[in-house]
Amino acid sequence: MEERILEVKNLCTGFEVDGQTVRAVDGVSFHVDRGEIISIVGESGSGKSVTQMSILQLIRKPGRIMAGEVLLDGQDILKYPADSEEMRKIRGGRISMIFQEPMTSLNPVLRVGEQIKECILLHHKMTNQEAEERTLQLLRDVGIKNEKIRKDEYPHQFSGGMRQRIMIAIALAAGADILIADEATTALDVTTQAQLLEMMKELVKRYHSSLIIVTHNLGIVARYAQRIYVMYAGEILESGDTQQIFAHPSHPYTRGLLKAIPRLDDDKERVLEPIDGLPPDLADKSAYCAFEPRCKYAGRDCREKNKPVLHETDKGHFAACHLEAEELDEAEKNFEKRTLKRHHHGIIKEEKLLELQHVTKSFKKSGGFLKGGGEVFKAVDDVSLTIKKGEILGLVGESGCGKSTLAKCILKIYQANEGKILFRGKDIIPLKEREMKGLRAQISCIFQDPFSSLDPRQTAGSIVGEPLKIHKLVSTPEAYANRVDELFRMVNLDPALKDRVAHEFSGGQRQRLGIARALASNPEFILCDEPISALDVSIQAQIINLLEELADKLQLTYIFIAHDLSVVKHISDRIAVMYLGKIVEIAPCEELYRNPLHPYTQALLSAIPIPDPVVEKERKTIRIQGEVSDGALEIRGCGFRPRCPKATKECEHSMQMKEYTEGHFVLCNQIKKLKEEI
Amino acid sequence: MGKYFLKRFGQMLVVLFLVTFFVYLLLDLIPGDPVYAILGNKIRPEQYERVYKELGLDKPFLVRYGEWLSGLVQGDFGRSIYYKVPVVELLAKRLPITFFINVIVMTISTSLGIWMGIISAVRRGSKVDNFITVFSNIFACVPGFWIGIILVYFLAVKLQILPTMGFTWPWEDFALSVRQLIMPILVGVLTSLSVMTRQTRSSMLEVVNQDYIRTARAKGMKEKDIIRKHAIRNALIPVITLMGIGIGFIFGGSPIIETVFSIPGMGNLLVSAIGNRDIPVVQACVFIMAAVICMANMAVDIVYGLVDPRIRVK
Repeated sequence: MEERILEVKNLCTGFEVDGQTVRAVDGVSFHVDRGEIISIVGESGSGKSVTQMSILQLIRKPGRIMAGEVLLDGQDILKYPADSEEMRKIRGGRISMIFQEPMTSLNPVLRVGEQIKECILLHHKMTNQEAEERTLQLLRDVGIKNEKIRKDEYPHQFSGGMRQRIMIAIALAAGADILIADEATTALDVTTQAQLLEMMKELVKRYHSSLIIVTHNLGIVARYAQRIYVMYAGEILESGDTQQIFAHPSHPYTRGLLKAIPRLDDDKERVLEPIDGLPPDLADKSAYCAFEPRCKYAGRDCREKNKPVLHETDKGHFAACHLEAEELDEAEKNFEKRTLKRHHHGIIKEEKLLELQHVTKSFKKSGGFLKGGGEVFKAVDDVSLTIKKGEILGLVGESGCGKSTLAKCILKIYQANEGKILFRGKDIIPLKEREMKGLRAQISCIFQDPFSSLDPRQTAGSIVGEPLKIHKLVSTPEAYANRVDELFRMVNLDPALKDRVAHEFSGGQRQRLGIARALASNPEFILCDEPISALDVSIQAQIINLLEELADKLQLTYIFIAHDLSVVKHISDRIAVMYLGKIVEIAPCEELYRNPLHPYTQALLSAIPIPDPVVEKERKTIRIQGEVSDGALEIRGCGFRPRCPKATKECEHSMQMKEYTEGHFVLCNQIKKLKEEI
Repeated sequence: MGKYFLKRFGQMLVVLFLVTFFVYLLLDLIPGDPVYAILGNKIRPEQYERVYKELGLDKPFLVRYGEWLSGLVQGDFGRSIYYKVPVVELLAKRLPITFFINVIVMTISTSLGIWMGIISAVRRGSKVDNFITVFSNIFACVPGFWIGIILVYFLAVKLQILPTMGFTWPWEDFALSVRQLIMPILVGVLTSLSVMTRQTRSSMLEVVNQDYIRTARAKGMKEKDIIRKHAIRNALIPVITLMGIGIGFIFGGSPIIETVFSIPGMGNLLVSAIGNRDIPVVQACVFIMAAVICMANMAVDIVYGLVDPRIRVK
């Protein structure tokens, strides 16, 4: 048996809220062996991060570790006070943690080299010179070039991905045996995420340490973890070997999650089955199974018997559910019949609803007060697109690719510098705001962050009803009230919630409000700017399905923006991939996934892990290095050239969009050769 | 950094130039004839003539302003009408005293305020925190002259342990100097301390909840070192801004303190000059105060750049 390096037994952590103890972690046990990569999976509020913070005793007031043991090499470390010498040696020295927010996790006023060196000197007796050398070594290890110069830079001079590399260097600095990556790659682009996870895996192997990946992303889990723990409402519901769990999920929640998330290798016709309802309020947890209220499989036992405990269903595979695997399968057969296959109608009329012709938006890099004009940076560079009535176009690209800028040009939040944006054949670029007013009712938008895009002081009803007043769509107060109720029902919200304010809703409900607001003015076209990126995985499917349903019912046309290709697959008819302001590939949905031509599209696809360990093993992956910004200053030829594995001299020449098969366009000078490869 | 400094310096010169303009406008803004306003109505025509010329009122405004400005650049503030000596001579005696007291007040109140703010934030909710909060709040709402009068009443009149007034340089009579300085400095510190303390406390509380402090804890650093190395520098960024304002506050308060304790400083000079309608002296005092505040703010911006690398790059 492998050396058991860390074992957590029956850990309970609570928070005092209004004189009541809320158990965020409720009897969690798990273990890690040396050299192993495990994963703790759960949605926000499941207690997965609190568990990890408890291990290091980083829980601050009003939180408190109430019970349990954390055995490091067999020694209970919870018996040391949080600020004791022993505990401090463990933190960073034995177990180190990489946090989610790379933008705020580094001290903004200290040089990055200093922040790494500090950690080395804390745990090792070294001279300053030696620590300095080790710092440089670490920076090289995590893939930071020019380390001698960069160590003296400050965090704000690094991109998000680079900052996370520095966080990893800090975590590795003192040679800890256990790395905890707490949603460490969540906020990053898919290609950067793949690079970082790959690197962590390498480093863990090289130093024979262990890695705990805490995430909500089942794809990452399938690609990297050897064992999984699924957390829900502060408890572990299922645990076991990755292969086992993905092949035979034994808990309804795990099954639900796997059905709810979109997969790259999905059949386009597969209906995403969301998990209904909301995660429980931890303040009043019942004595029964915590998942029962949302569980489609639940029977009488689940409401009558006590909370199910983890028990072995198979060798090394544990689940906390009253139902046996056979019973679950049986239940599944029944409701599979009930799932209606919806098919999106696609193009309704051969009518061009929105047409972009050579749209360009450039920004001047600010040169400062005394410097005068700076360089011009083209955020959107000669983009042409056509969307027909009823069509859903997925627009995909990583941060900095210009997709949001393009969206803002269409909404006329930004004024495009060149080109034409034709809505129903009428160019909207030269229109004055006054002339736009009628059109604004027809072009709507849904934003990414449901938490900050709704006015916190307005009631839900007035948020949804505001467009009605602006566009004078209703004449009487009764008509207004009726329409608002109707809009609430359209997005499956209870009109009785009208008088609440935004913070009383959950993330998914808020996004429904955002959708209802977008629908209020009876638009023809809705621009959805990453509408589900900020939501929990079990909720995402609800919103995707809702949007698809509404598109059918109301004959809507969408541009659906996302940063990742797995999300848009289900909903889109056509997909456009953007890189550095240009559309590099555009094709009908299935064609794009079957036959991606542009090296960037290929890289994007292979960076997304598929939540299935069997598939993952078979997959050939194309890795690209670097980040989007690496090519930003490249002017001649292809912007992707510096990162492209297939780049040759030819790529320095200017490019033309070429049609490869019908409707499949690609912007790449290598395209002839690529054709042969396929 | 050099560029940043030059830019700030340029901005300061613009501000100072505007200040001179408004200060000079003072003369023309006095209702009625400035000469009568200064000397009263019962004067002989020769007297009127002399002062009229002395103020340069026989020339157009811009010419007068130009002459005054060129004098000012060369360090000539004109002549005092009341004392009948060059204003510079008055300032040479008075200004150092005010500076001396204010620098001491500034140093004590900043360092004490920051220290108290940190203590109170680190030990949030403790007795020390409560005490500091109550203590600084009390003095935040009591006017300085009142504290001054109370101090004089108890320490000087009743207990007779300190002299009621006056100023002596430490090198002339050290013991007397210290005894005379205790009360004015105490008043200055007490009135300016609370803002500093409360700003430090709140910005410190914000900083200790930041993610990078969590990172530092996860590294295994001692709480003391986290505060010292990671928290304080970040917490001081807003406090530094306040220091600029604080300098203005303290200088603005010096007329009161100097009047209460009869200290022959610039504040006192300003108050009596206003009473005596000694316009050139008023102009000089106001200009110097404005200049001090401008320079303080520039210094603040430079320190800001040193502390926060994000500003330096821009």
